[in-house]
Amino acid sequence: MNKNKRCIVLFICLILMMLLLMVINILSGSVGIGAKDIAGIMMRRDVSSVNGKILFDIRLPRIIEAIFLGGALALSGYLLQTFFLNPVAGPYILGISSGAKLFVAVLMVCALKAGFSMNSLMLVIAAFIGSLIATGFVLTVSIRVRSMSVLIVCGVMVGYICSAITEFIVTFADDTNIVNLHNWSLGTFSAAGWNDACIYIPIVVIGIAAAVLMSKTIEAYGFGENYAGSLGINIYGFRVLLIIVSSVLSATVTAFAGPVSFVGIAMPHVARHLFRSEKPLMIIPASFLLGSVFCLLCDLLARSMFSPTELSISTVTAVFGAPIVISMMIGRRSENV
Amino acid sequence: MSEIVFENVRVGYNGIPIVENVSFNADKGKITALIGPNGAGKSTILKTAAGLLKQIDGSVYIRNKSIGSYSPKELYSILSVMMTDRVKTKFMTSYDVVRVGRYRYTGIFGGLSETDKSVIKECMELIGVWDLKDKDYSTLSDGQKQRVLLARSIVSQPGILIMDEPASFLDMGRKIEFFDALTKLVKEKEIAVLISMHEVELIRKVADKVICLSGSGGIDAMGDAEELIRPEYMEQLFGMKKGKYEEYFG
Repeated sequence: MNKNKRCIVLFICLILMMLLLMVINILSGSVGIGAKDIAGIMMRRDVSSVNGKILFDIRLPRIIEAIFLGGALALSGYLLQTFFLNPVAGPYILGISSGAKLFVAVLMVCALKAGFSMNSLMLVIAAFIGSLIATGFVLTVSIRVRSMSVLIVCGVMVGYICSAITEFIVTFADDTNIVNLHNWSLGTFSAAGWNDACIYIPIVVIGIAAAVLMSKTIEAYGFGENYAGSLGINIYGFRVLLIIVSSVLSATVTAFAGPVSFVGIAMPHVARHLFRSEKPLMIIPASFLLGSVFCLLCDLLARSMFSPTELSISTVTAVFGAPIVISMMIGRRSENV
Repeated sequence: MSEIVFENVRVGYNGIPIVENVSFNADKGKITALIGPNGAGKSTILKTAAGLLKQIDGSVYIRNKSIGSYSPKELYSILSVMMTDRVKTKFMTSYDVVRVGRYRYTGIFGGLSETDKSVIKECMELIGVWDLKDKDYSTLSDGQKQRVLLARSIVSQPGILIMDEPASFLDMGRKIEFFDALTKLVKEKEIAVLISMHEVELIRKVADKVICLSGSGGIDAMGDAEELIRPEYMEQLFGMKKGKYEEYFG
Protein backbone atom coordinates (compact mmCIF):
# COMPACT_ATOMS: atom_id res chain seq x y z
CA MET A 1 0.00 0.00 0.00
CA ASN A 2 2.82 2.33 0.98
CA LYS A 3 4.55 1.60 -2.29
CA ASN A 4 1.48 2.45 -4.33
CA LYS A 5 1.08 5.73 -2.49
CA ARG A 6 4.66 6.60 -3.24
CA CYS A 7 4.11 5.92 -6.93
CA ILE A 8 1.00 8.06 -7.07
CA VAL A 9 2.85 10.92 -5.38
CA LEU A 10 5.69 10.53 -7.88
CA PHE A 11 3.31 10.60 -10.83
CA ILE A 12 1.64 13.74 -9.49
CA CYS A 13 5.06 15.35 -8.99
CA LEU A 14 6.08 14.53 -12.55
CA ILE A 15 2.89 15.98 -13.97
CA LEU A 16 3.27 19.13 -11.87
CA MET A 17 6.86 19.48 -13.03
CA MET A 18 5.71 19.12 -16.60
CA LEU A 19 3.09 21.83 -16.18
CA LEU A 20 5.59 24.11 -14.46
CA LEU A 21 8.16 23.64 -17.21
CA MET A 22 5.48 24.27 -19.84
CA VAL A 23 4.68 27.62 -18.21
CA ILE A 24 8.35 28.58 -17.91
CA ASN A 25 8.95 27.56 -21.51
CA ILE A 26 6.04 29.70 -22.69
CA LEU A 27 7.24 32.68 -20.70
CA SER A 28 10.88 32.55 -21.70
CA GLY A 29 12.43 33.44 -25.01
CA SER A 30 14.44 36.07 -26.80
CA VAL A 31 11.37 38.27 -27.07
CA GLY A 32 10.09 39.11 -23.62
CA ILE A 33 6.33 38.74 -23.37
CA GLY A 34 4.75 39.30 -19.97
CA ALA A 35 2.63 36.68 -18.29
CA LYS A 36 -0.40 38.97 -18.48
CA ASP A 37 0.01 39.47 -22.21
CA ILE A 38 0.35 35.76 -22.72
CA ALA A 39 -2.77 35.06 -20.72
CA GLY A 40 -4.57 37.65 -22.81
CA ILE A 41 -3.37 36.20 -26.08
CA MET A 42 -4.35 32.71 -24.96
CA MET A 43 -7.82 33.85 -23.89
CA ARG A 44 -8.46 35.75 -27.13
CA ARG A 45 -6.81 33.04 -29.26
CA ASP A 46 -5.10 35.96 -30.92
CA VAL A 47 -2.98 34.43 -33.67
CA SER A 48 -2.54 37.51 -35.83
CA SER A 49 -0.45 39.81 -33.64
CA VAL A 50 3.34 39.46 -33.53
CA ASN A 51 3.28 38.16 -29.98
CA GLY A 52 0.47 35.81 -30.87
CA LYS A 53 2.53 34.42 -33.74
CA ILE A 54 5.53 33.92 -31.46
CA LEU A 55 3.33 32.10 -29.00
CA PHE A 56 1.26 29.92 -31.30
CA ASP A 57 3.73 29.31 -34.09
CA ILE A 58 6.99 29.06 -32.22
CA ARG A 59 6.75 28.44 -28.50
CA LEU A 60 3.70 26.19 -28.19
CA PRO A 61 4.59 23.79 -31.02
CA ARG A 62 8.03 23.49 -29.55
CA ILE A 63 6.66 22.59 -26.13
CA ILE A 64 4.29 20.03 -27.60
CA GLU A 65 7.14 18.56 -29.60
CA ALA A 66 9.42 18.26 -26.58
CA ILE A 67 6.65 16.57 -24.59
CA PHE A 68 5.65 14.00 -27.19
CA LEU A 69 8.99 13.31 -28.82
CA GLY A 70 10.92 13.31 -25.54
CA GLY A 71 8.47 10.81 -24.12
CA ALA A 72 8.55 8.71 -27.29
CA LEU A 73 12.30 8.55 -27.13
CA ALA A 74 12.30 7.31 -23.54
CA LEU A 75 9.69 4.70 -24.42
CA SER A 76 11.65 3.58 -27.46
CA GLY A 77 14.69 3.12 -25.23
CA TYR A 78 12.66 1.11 -22.74
CA LEU A 79 11.46 -1.28 -25.46
CA LEU A 80 15.01 -1.73 -26.76
CA GLN A 81 16.21 -2.47 -23.25
CA THR A 82 13.49 -5.08 -22.96
CA PHE A 83 14.56 -6.57 -26.27
CA PHE A 84 18.21 -6.89 -25.29
CA LEU A 85 17.36 -7.86 -21.69
CA ASN A 86 19.86 -5.20 -20.76
CA PRO A 87 19.29 -1.73 -19.31
CA VAL A 88 22.28 -0.29 -21.15
CA ALA A 89 20.59 0.13 -24.54
CA GLY A 90 19.01 3.01 -26.36
CA PRO A 91 18.24 4.18 -29.89
CA TYR A 92 21.03 6.77 -29.94
CA ILE A 93 23.82 4.72 -28.44
CA LEU A 94 23.07 1.73 -30.69
CA GLY A 95 23.33 3.91 -33.80
CA ILE A 96 19.64 3.54 -34.67
CA SER A 97 18.89 7.27 -34.48
CA SER A 98 21.89 7.99 -36.70
CA GLY A 99 20.72 5.47 -39.29
CA ALA A 100 17.38 7.22 -39.34
CA LYS A 101 19.10 10.58 -39.58
CA LEU A 102 21.14 9.48 -42.59
CA PHE A 103 18.08 8.32 -44.51
CA VAL A 104 16.15 11.48 -43.75
CA ALA A 105 19.08 13.64 -44.83
CA VAL A 106 19.42 11.72 -48.10
CA LEU A 107 15.71 12.07 -48.78
CA MET A 108 15.74 15.79 -47.98
CA VAL A 109 18.70 16.51 -50.21
CA CYS A 110 17.30 14.43 -53.05
CA ALA A 111 13.98 16.21 -52.73
CA LEU A 112 15.68 19.61 -52.83
CA LYS A 113 17.75 18.64 -55.86
CA ALA A 114 14.88 17.14 -57.77
CA GLY A 115 12.59 19.94 -56.73
CA PHE A 116 9.72 17.83 -55.47
CA SER A 117 8.16 18.74 -52.19
CA MET A 118 7.88 16.13 -49.51
CA ASN A 119 5.63 15.85 -46.54
CA SER A 120 6.44 14.89 -43.02
CA LEU A 121 5.00 11.39 -43.41
CA MET A 122 7.62 10.65 -46.04
CA LEU A 123 10.28 11.81 -43.61
CA VAL A 124 8.95 9.42 -40.97
CA ILE A 125 8.97 6.55 -43.42
CA ALA A 126 12.54 7.32 -44.52
CA ALA A 127 13.61 7.53 -40.88
CA PHE A 128 11.86 4.22 -40.15
CA ILE A 129 13.67 2.47 -42.99
CA GLY A 130 16.97 3.95 -41.85
CA SER A 131 16.45 2.87 -38.28
CA LEU A 132 15.42 -0.64 -39.33
CA ILE A 133 18.62 -1.01 -41.37
CA ALA A 134 20.75 0.21 -38.48
CA THR A 135 18.85 -2.10 -36.12
CA GLY A 136 19.35 -4.97 -38.52
CA PHE A 137 23.07 -4.39 -38.45
CA VAL A 138 23.18 -4.23 -34.66
CA LEU A 139 21.10 -7.43 -34.45
CA THR A 140 23.42 -9.26 -36.83
CA VAL A 141 26.30 -8.30 -34.57
CA SER A 142 24.34 -9.34 -31.49
CA ILE A 143 23.84 -12.84 -32.89
CA ARG A 144 27.59 -13.22 -33.42
CA VAL A 145 28.77 -11.72 -30.15
CA ARG A 146 26.85 -12.14 -26.95
CA SER A 147 28.55 -9.24 -25.20
CA MET A 148 26.54 -6.10 -24.65
CA SER A 149 29.63 -3.90 -24.46
CA VAL A 150 30.80 -5.02 -27.90
CA LEU A 151 27.30 -4.33 -29.16
CA ILE A 152 27.36 -0.80 -27.79
CA VAL A 153 30.77 -0.08 -29.28
CA CYS A 154 29.42 -1.33 -32.63
CA GLY A 155 26.37 0.88 -32.24
CA VAL A 156 28.49 3.93 -31.48
CA MET A 157 30.64 3.17 -34.54
CA VAL A 158 27.56 2.81 -36.76
CA GLY A 159 26.45 6.16 -35.34
CA TYR A 160 29.76 7.76 -36.28
CA ILE A 161 29.68 6.36 -39.81
CA CYS A 162 26.10 7.51 -40.40
CA SER A 163 26.80 10.93 -38.90
CA ALA A 164 29.89 11.32 -41.05
CA ILE A 165 27.98 10.53 -44.22
CA THR A 166 25.13 12.84 -43.17
CA GLU A 167 27.61 15.60 -42.43
CA PHE A 168 29.19 15.08 -45.83
CA ILE A 169 25.87 15.27 -47.62
CA VAL A 170 24.75 18.32 -45.69
CA THR A 171 28.04 20.15 -46.25
CA PHE A 172 28.13 19.63 -49.98
CA ALA A 173 24.48 20.15 -50.74
CA ASP A 174 24.98 23.90 -50.81
CA ASP A 175 21.46 25.05 -51.01
CA THR A 176 20.18 27.88 -48.86
CA ASN A 177 17.40 25.61 -47.73
CA ILE A 178 19.94 23.33 -46.21
CA VAL A 179 20.59 25.68 -43.27
CA ASN A 180 17.62 24.15 -41.50
CA LEU A 181 18.91 20.71 -42.31
CA HIS A 182 22.14 21.47 -40.52
CA ASN A 183 20.34 22.48 -37.32
CA TRP A 184 18.10 19.47 -37.55
CA SER A 185 20.99 17.05 -38.05
CA LEU A 186 22.37 18.12 -34.65
CA GLY A 187 19.02 17.74 -32.93
CA THR A 188 16.52 20.48 -32.15
CA PHE A 189 12.90 20.84 -31.12
CA SER A 190 12.48 24.06 -33.12
CA ALA A 191 11.78 22.64 -36.55
CA ALA A 192 8.31 21.16 -36.37
CA GLY A 193 5.05 23.06 -36.65
CA TRP A 194 1.41 22.17 -36.12
CA ASN A 195 1.16 20.21 -39.35
CA ASP A 196 3.95 17.96 -38.18
CA ALA A 197 2.26 17.60 -34.81
CA CYS A 198 -0.75 16.12 -36.61
CA ILE A 199 1.55 13.35 -37.82
CA TYR A 200 3.69 12.62 -34.80
CA ILE A 201 1.06 12.85 -32.06
CA PRO A 202 -1.05 9.97 -33.46
CA ILE A 203 2.06 7.86 -34.07
CA VAL A 204 3.31 8.41 -30.53
CA VAL A 205 -0.12 7.70 -29.04
CA ILE A 206 -0.32 4.44 -31.00
CA GLY A 207 3.19 3.58 -29.81
CA ILE A 208 2.20 4.09 -26.18
CA ALA A 209 -0.94 2.01 -26.65
CA ALA A 210 1.08 -0.80 -28.24
CA ALA A 211 3.60 -0.75 -25.40
CA VAL A 212 0.85 -0.83 -22.78
CA LEU A 213 -0.83 -3.77 -24.53
CA MET A 214 2.51 -5.60 -24.56
CA SER A 215 3.21 -4.87 -20.89
CA LYS A 216 2.25 -8.30 -19.55
CA THR A 217 4.52 -10.06 -22.05
CA ILE A 218 7.31 -7.53 -21.46
CA GLU A 219 7.29 -8.49 -17.80
CA ALA A 220 7.45 -12.23 -18.50
CA TYR A 221 10.10 -11.75 -21.19
CA GLY A 222 12.24 -9.98 -18.59
CA PHE A 223 12.88 -13.40 -17.02
CA GLY A 224 14.70 -14.59 -20.12
CA GLU A 225 13.80 -16.08 -23.47
CA ASN A 226 13.71 -19.68 -22.32
CA TYR A 227 11.35 -18.92 -19.49
CA ALA A 228 9.11 -16.73 -21.63
CA GLY A 229 9.02 -19.53 -24.21
CA SER A 230 7.97 -21.97 -21.51
CA LEU A 231 4.98 -19.75 -20.72
CA GLY A 232 3.79 -20.29 -24.27
CA ILE A 233 4.83 -16.85 -25.52
CA ASN A 234 5.69 -16.63 -29.22
CA ILE A 235 9.21 -15.30 -28.69
CA TYR A 236 9.98 -14.58 -32.32
CA GLY A 237 6.79 -12.64 -32.93
CA PHE A 238 7.18 -10.70 -29.71
CA ARG A 239 10.74 -9.70 -30.51
CA VAL A 240 9.76 -8.50 -33.98
CA LEU A 241 6.95 -6.46 -32.47
CA LEU A 242 9.30 -4.90 -29.92
CA ILE A 243 11.74 -3.82 -32.62
CA ILE A 244 9.02 -2.43 -34.86
CA VAL A 245 7.33 -0.35 -32.16
CA SER A 246 10.66 0.86 -30.81
CA SER A 247 11.90 1.76 -34.30
CA VAL A 248 8.72 3.58 -35.25
CA LEU A 249 8.98 5.69 -32.11
CA SER A 250 12.66 6.56 -32.47
CA ALA A 251 12.28 7.12 -36.22
CA THR A 252 9.45 9.57 -35.61
CA VAL A 253 11.59 11.49 -33.15
CA THR A 254 14.51 11.59 -35.57
CA ALA A 255 12.35 12.68 -38.49
CA PHE A 256 11.14 15.77 -36.63
CA ALA A 257 13.77 16.61 -34.05
CA GLY A 258 16.90 14.95 -35.39
CA PRO A 259 18.96 12.66 -33.21
CA VAL A 260 18.52 13.40 -29.52
CA SER A 261 21.06 11.67 -27.33
CA PHE A 262 20.80 9.83 -24.00
CA VAL A 263 17.07 10.27 -23.36
CA GLY A 264 16.22 6.74 -24.50
CA ILE A 265 18.95 5.06 -22.50
CA ALA A 266 18.85 7.11 -19.31
CA MET A 267 15.18 7.86 -18.62
CA PRO A 268 13.89 4.27 -18.22
CA HIS A 269 16.76 3.71 -15.81
CA VAL A 270 15.81 6.80 -13.81
CA ALA A 271 12.19 5.65 -13.88
CA ARG A 272 13.04 2.22 -12.45
CA HIS A 273 15.08 3.71 -9.64
CA LEU A 274 12.67 6.52 -8.85
CA PHE A 275 9.63 4.23 -8.72
CA ARG A 276 11.64 1.29 -7.34
CA SER A 277 9.68 -0.94 -9.64
CA GLU A 278 10.08 -3.00 -12.77
CA LYS A 279 6.38 -3.36 -13.50
CA PRO A 280 5.99 -2.39 -17.16
CA LEU A 281 2.58 -0.85 -16.47
CA MET A 282 4.35 1.53 -14.10
CA ILE A 283 7.58 2.08 -16.00
CA ILE A 284 6.01 2.74 -19.42
CA PRO A 285 4.12 5.88 -18.33
CA ALA A 286 6.88 6.85 -15.91
CA SER A 287 9.57 6.69 -18.61
CA PHE A 288 7.37 8.65 -20.97
CA LEU A 289 6.68 11.41 -18.45
CA LEU A 290 10.33 11.56 -17.42
CA GLY A 291 11.36 11.81 -21.07
CA SER A 292 8.92 14.69 -21.56
CA VAL A 293 10.01 16.55 -18.45
CA PHE A 294 13.68 15.98 -19.21
CA CYS A 295 13.34 17.24 -22.79
CA LEU A 296 11.32 20.29 -21.71
CA LEU A 297 14.05 21.13 -19.22
CA CYS A 298 16.90 20.54 -21.65
CA ASP A 299 15.16 22.50 -24.37
CA LEU A 300 14.68 25.40 -21.96
CA LEU A 301 18.38 25.34 -21.12
CA ALA A 302 19.38 24.97 -24.77
CA ARG A 303 17.38 28.09 -25.64
CA SER A 304 18.09 30.28 -22.68
CA MET A 305 21.62 29.59 -21.44
CA PHE A 306 23.41 31.46 -24.22
CA SER A 307 20.42 33.29 -25.65
CA PRO A 308 20.05 34.38 -28.40
CA THR A 309 22.46 31.66 -29.53
CA GLU A 310 20.76 28.28 -29.30
CA LEU A 311 22.53 25.08 -28.34
CA SER A 312 21.58 21.83 -30.03
CA ILE A 313 19.35 19.74 -27.77
CA SER A 314 21.77 16.81 -27.78
CA THR A 315 24.49 18.98 -26.28
CA VAL A 316 22.34 19.57 -23.24
CA THR A 317 20.84 16.09 -22.94
CA ALA A 318 24.35 14.61 -23.12
CA VAL A 319 25.58 16.75 -20.23
CA PHE A 320 22.92 15.25 -17.96
CA GLY A 321 22.39 11.91 -19.64
CA ALA A 322 25.95 10.68 -20.03
CA PRO A 323 26.78 10.76 -16.29
CA ILE A 324 23.60 8.76 -15.62
CA VAL A 325 24.70 6.12 -18.11
CA ILE A 326 28.21 5.99 -16.64
CA SER A 327 26.85 5.52 -13.11
CA MET A 328 24.54 2.85 -14.47
CA MET A 329 27.41 0.88 -16.00
CA ILE A 330 29.50 1.15 -12.85
CA GLY A 331 26.51 -0.02 -10.80
CA ARG A 332 26.01 -3.05 -13.03
CA ARG A 333 29.68 -3.93 -12.99
CA SER A 334 29.81 -4.06 -9.22
CA GLU A 335 26.66 -6.15 -9.11
CA ASN A 336 27.87 -8.72 -11.61
CA VAL A 337 31.05 -9.48 -9.71
CA MET B 1 0.41 -43.42 -16.05
CA SER B 2 3.42 -42.13 -17.95
CA GLU B 3 3.36 -38.39 -18.40
CA ILE B 4 6.50 -38.18 -20.52
CA VAL B 5 7.60 -40.93 -22.91
CA PHE B 6 10.76 -40.87 -25.03
CA GLU B 7 11.05 -43.52 -27.76
CA ASN B 8 14.38 -43.91 -29.52
CA VAL B 9 14.92 -40.19 -29.50
CA ARG B 10 18.03 -38.52 -30.83
CA VAL B 11 18.53 -35.10 -29.25
CA GLY B 12 20.92 -32.33 -30.19
CA TYR B 13 21.32 -28.86 -31.60
CA ASN B 14 21.12 -27.87 -35.27
CA GLY B 15 20.90 -31.46 -36.42
CA ILE B 16 24.07 -32.50 -34.59
CA PRO B 17 23.16 -35.28 -32.14
CA ILE B 18 24.39 -35.13 -28.56
CA VAL B 19 22.59 -38.14 -27.14
CA GLU B 20 21.20 -41.03 -29.19
CA ASN B 21 18.71 -43.76 -28.54
CA VAL B 22 17.02 -42.10 -25.62
CA SER B 23 14.07 -44.14 -24.37
CA PHE B 24 12.51 -43.69 -20.97
CA ASN B 25 9.32 -42.62 -19.29
CA ALA B 26 8.52 -40.34 -16.38
CA ASP B 27 5.47 -41.15 -14.29
CA LYS B 28 2.87 -39.24 -12.39
CA GLY B 29 3.71 -38.53 -8.77
CA LYS B 30 7.27 -39.73 -9.27
CA ILE B 31 10.63 -38.00 -9.49
CA THR B 32 12.75 -39.18 -12.38
CA ALA B 33 16.34 -38.01 -12.16
CA LEU B 34 18.95 -37.67 -14.88
CA ILE B 35 22.52 -38.01 -13.70
CA GLY B 36 25.80 -38.15 -15.51
CA PRO B 37 29.00 -36.22 -16.11
CA ASN B 38 29.02 -32.65 -17.41
CA GLY B 39 28.31 -32.49 -21.12
CA ALA B 40 26.54 -35.86 -21.21
CA GLY B 41 23.40 -34.15 -22.55
CA LYS B 42 21.19 -33.86 -19.49
CA SER B 43 20.10 -30.30 -20.30
CA THR B 44 19.58 -31.18 -23.95
CA ILE B 45 17.20 -34.00 -23.03
CA LEU B 46 15.35 -31.72 -20.61
CA LYS B 47 14.98 -28.99 -23.20
CA THR B 48 13.63 -31.53 -25.67
CA ALA B 49 11.14 -32.83 -23.11
CA ALA B 50 10.10 -29.24 -22.38
CA GLY B 51 9.42 -28.51 -26.04
CA LEU B 52 12.12 -25.84 -26.11
CA LEU B 53 14.23 -27.89 -28.50
CA LYS B 54 13.01 -30.14 -31.30
CA GLN B 55 14.27 -33.72 -31.31
CA ILE B 56 16.31 -34.76 -34.34
CA ASP B 57 14.32 -37.95 -34.65
CA GLY B 58 12.35 -40.45 -32.60
CA SER B 59 9.14 -39.71 -30.72
CA VAL B 60 8.44 -37.72 -27.61
CA TYR B 61 5.01 -38.12 -26.06
CA ILE B 62 3.47 -35.90 -23.43
CA ARG B 63 0.36 -37.54 -21.97
CA ASN B 64 0.26 -40.02 -24.86
CA LYS B 65 0.20 -37.28 -27.45
CA SER B 66 3.17 -36.40 -29.65
CA ILE B 67 4.84 -33.27 -28.33
CA GLY B 68 4.87 -31.74 -31.82
CA SER B 69 1.08 -31.81 -32.01
CA TYR B 70 0.65 -29.49 -29.02
CA SER B 71 0.28 -25.77 -29.45
CA PRO B 72 2.58 -23.85 -27.08
CA LYS B 73 -0.50 -22.82 -25.11
CA GLU B 74 -1.72 -26.37 -24.63
CA LEU B 75 1.71 -27.76 -23.87
CA TYR B 76 2.57 -25.20 -21.23
CA SER B 77 -0.74 -25.56 -19.53
CA ILE B 78 0.33 -29.04 -18.45
CA LEU B 79 4.07 -28.63 -18.37
CA SER B 80 6.20 -26.22 -16.40
CA VAL B 81 9.90 -25.58 -16.65
CA MET B 82 12.60 -24.48 -14.23
CA MET B 83 15.82 -23.98 -16.17
CA THR B 84 19.20 -22.74 -15.02
CA ASP B 85 18.74 -19.12 -16.18
CA ARG B 86 19.44 -16.89 -13.21
CA VAL B 87 16.76 -14.29 -12.66
CA LYS B 88 18.15 -10.77 -12.77
CA THR B 89 15.60 -8.44 -11.29
CA LYS B 90 16.10 -5.43 -9.18
CA PHE B 91 12.85 -4.08 -7.90
CA MET B 92 10.62 -7.13 -7.72
CA THR B 93 9.29 -8.78 -4.62
CA SER B 94 9.21 -12.57 -4.38
CA TYR B 95 5.48 -12.33 -4.85
CA ASP B 96 5.97 -10.45 -8.12
CA VAL B 97 8.31 -13.15 -9.35
CA VAL B 98 5.90 -15.97 -8.47
CA ARG B 99 2.94 -14.02 -9.88
CA VAL B 100 4.48 -14.09 -13.39
CA GLY B 101 4.11 -17.89 -13.35
CA ARG B 102 0.34 -17.37 -13.58
CA TYR B 103 0.86 -15.69 -16.97
CA ARG B 104 -1.57 -17.94 -18.79
CA TYR B 105 -4.45 -17.19 -16.43
CA THR B 106 -4.05 -13.48 -15.74
CA GLY B 107 -5.87 -10.66 -17.52
CA ILE B 108 -4.64 -8.72 -20.52
CA PHE B 109 -2.58 -6.41 -18.31
CA GLY B 110 -1.57 -9.18 -15.92
CA GLY B 111 -4.24 -8.44 -13.31
CA LEU B 112 -4.83 -11.18 -10.73
CA SER B 113 -8.23 -12.70 -10.03
CA GLU B 114 -9.19 -14.08 -6.62
CA THR B 115 -8.42 -17.60 -7.89
CA ASP B 116 -4.97 -16.47 -9.03
CA LYS B 117 -4.29 -14.96 -5.63
CA SER B 118 -5.38 -18.02 -3.72
CA VAL B 119 -3.37 -20.38 -5.95
CA ILE B 120 -0.26 -18.22 -5.52
CA LYS B 121 -0.74 -18.16 -1.76
CA GLU B 122 -1.29 -21.90 -1.59
CA CYS B 123 1.78 -22.69 -3.68
CA MET B 124 4.01 -20.29 -1.76
CA GLU B 125 2.84 -21.77 1.52
CA LEU B 126 3.42 -25.30 0.28
CA ILE B 127 7.02 -24.47 -0.64
CA GLY B 128 7.46 -22.45 2.54
CA VAL B 129 8.17 -19.08 0.98
CA TRP B 130 4.97 -17.23 1.85
CA ASP B 131 6.74 -15.27 4.58
CA LEU B 132 9.19 -13.99 1.95
CA LYS B 133 6.44 -12.58 -0.24
CA ASP B 134 7.16 -8.90 0.39
CA LYS B 135 10.94 -9.30 0.38
CA ASP B 136 12.87 -7.92 -2.56
CA TYR B 137 13.81 -10.96 -4.65
CA SER B 138 17.33 -9.70 -5.36
CA THR B 139 18.11 -9.56 -1.63
CA LEU B 140 17.19 -13.21 -0.94
CA SER B 141 19.78 -15.91 -0.35
CA ASP B 142 20.39 -18.42 -3.14
CA GLY B 143 18.42 -21.10 -1.31
CA GLN B 144 15.44 -18.81 -0.84
CA LYS B 145 15.64 -17.71 -4.47
CA GLN B 146 15.53 -21.29 -5.74
CA ARG B 147 12.52 -22.09 -3.60
CA VAL B 148 10.75 -18.95 -4.84
CA LEU B 149 11.46 -20.09 -8.40
CA LEU B 150 10.10 -23.53 -7.51
CA ALA B 151 6.91 -21.84 -6.32
CA ARG B 152 6.80 -19.83 -9.55
CA SER B 153 7.02 -23.00 -11.62
CA ILE B 154 4.03 -24.62 -9.93
CA VAL B 155 1.55 -21.73 -9.78
CA SER B 156 0.47 -22.64 -13.31
CA GLN B 157 -0.72 -25.91 -11.71
CA PRO B 158 1.22 -28.16 -14.07
CA GLY B 159 1.02 -31.93 -14.26
CA ILE B 160 4.66 -32.13 -15.31
CA LEU B 161 7.64 -30.25 -13.95
CA ILE B 162 11.00 -30.20 -15.71
CA MET B 163 14.00 -28.92 -13.76
CA ASP B 164 17.62 -28.47 -14.72
CA GLU B 165 20.03 -28.78 -11.78
CA PRO B 166 17.90 -26.68 -9.47
CA ALA B 167 20.06 -27.20 -6.39
CA SER B 168 23.55 -27.30 -7.85
CA PHE B 169 24.89 -24.09 -6.37
CA LEU B 170 23.22 -24.41 -2.97
CA ASP B 171 25.01 -25.44 0.19
CA MET B 172 24.17 -28.79 1.80
CA GLY B 173 21.56 -27.38 4.17
CA ARG B 174 19.80 -25.44 1.43
CA LYS B 175 19.95 -28.44 -0.92
CA ILE B 176 18.10 -30.50 1.65
CA GLU B 177 15.55 -27.72 2.24
CA PHE B 178 15.00 -27.53 -1.48
CA PHE B 179 14.55 -31.25 -2.01
CA ASP B 180 12.28 -31.46 1.05
CA ALA B 181 10.04 -28.88 -0.55
CA LEU B 182 10.15 -30.71 -3.87
CA THR B 183 9.32 -34.17 -2.51
CA LYS B 184 6.50 -32.76 -0.41
CA LEU B 185 5.16 -31.03 -3.47
CA VAL B 186 5.29 -34.14 -5.62
CA LYS B 187 3.48 -36.17 -2.99
CA GLU B 188 0.78 -33.58 -2.50
CA LYS B 189 0.18 -32.56 -6.12
CA GLU B 190 0.99 -35.87 -7.86
CA ILE B 191 3.22 -34.10 -10.35
CA ALA B 192 5.59 -35.98 -12.67
CA VAL B 193 9.04 -34.48 -12.19
CA LEU B 194 11.92 -34.87 -14.61
CA ILE B 195 15.03 -33.43 -13.03
CA SER B 196 18.75 -33.36 -13.67
CA MET B 197 20.94 -33.28 -10.61
CA HIS B 198 24.50 -33.73 -9.43
CA GLU B 199 23.70 -34.64 -5.84
CA VAL B 200 24.44 -38.34 -6.15
CA GLU B 201 24.55 -38.67 -2.38
CA LEU B 202 20.97 -37.39 -2.05
CA ILE B 203 19.49 -39.19 -4.98
CA ARG B 204 18.30 -42.23 -3.07
CA LYS B 205 16.12 -40.03 -0.91
CA VAL B 206 14.91 -37.81 -3.74
CA ALA B 207 14.43 -39.82 -6.88
CA ASP B 208 12.12 -42.73 -7.54
CA LYS B 209 13.95 -43.58 -10.71
CA VAL B 210 17.39 -42.75 -12.02
CA ILE B 211 18.55 -42.45 -15.61
CA CYS B 212 22.33 -42.56 -15.96
CA LEU B 213 23.86 -40.87 -18.97
CA SER B 214 27.36 -41.83 -19.93
CA GLY B 215 29.82 -39.32 -21.33
CA SER B 216 29.72 -41.09 -24.69
CA GLY B 217 26.28 -39.94 -25.80
CA GLY B 218 23.77 -42.50 -24.58
CA ILE B 219 21.83 -43.88 -21.66
CA ASP B 220 24.08 -46.18 -19.72
CA ALA B 221 21.67 -47.57 -17.16
CA MET B 222 18.23 -46.89 -15.78
CA GLY B 223 16.30 -48.03 -12.77
CA ASP B 224 15.90 -47.91 -9.04
CA ALA B 225 18.20 -45.51 -7.21
CA GLU B 226 18.99 -48.07 -4.49
CA GLU B 227 20.34 -50.50 -7.04
CA LEU B 228 22.19 -48.09 -9.27
CA ILE B 229 23.95 -45.81 -6.85
CA ARG B 230 26.79 -48.15 -6.01
CA PRO B 231 30.42 -47.13 -5.58
CA GLU B 232 31.84 -49.19 -8.45
CA TYR B 233 29.20 -48.02 -10.87
CA MET B 234 29.47 -44.35 -9.88
CA GLU B 235 33.24 -44.54 -10.29
CA GLN B 236 32.77 -45.91 -13.77
CA LEU B 237 30.02 -43.45 -14.78
CA PHE B 238 31.82 -40.34 -13.60
CA GLY B 239 35.27 -41.53 -14.60
CA MET B 240 36.74 -41.71 -11.10
CA LYS B 241 39.72 -43.74 -9.93
CA LYS B 242 38.83 -46.97 -8.19
CA GLY B 243 37.99 -46.54 -4.54
CA LYS B 244 37.57 -42.78 -4.77
CA TYR B 245 33.79 -42.86 -4.37
CA GLU B 246 34.02 -44.84 -1.19
CA GLU B 247 36.83 -42.61 0.02
CA TYR B 248 34.77 -39.46 -0.31
CA PHE B 249 31.15 -40.54 0.10
CA GLY B 250 31.37 -43.84 1.93
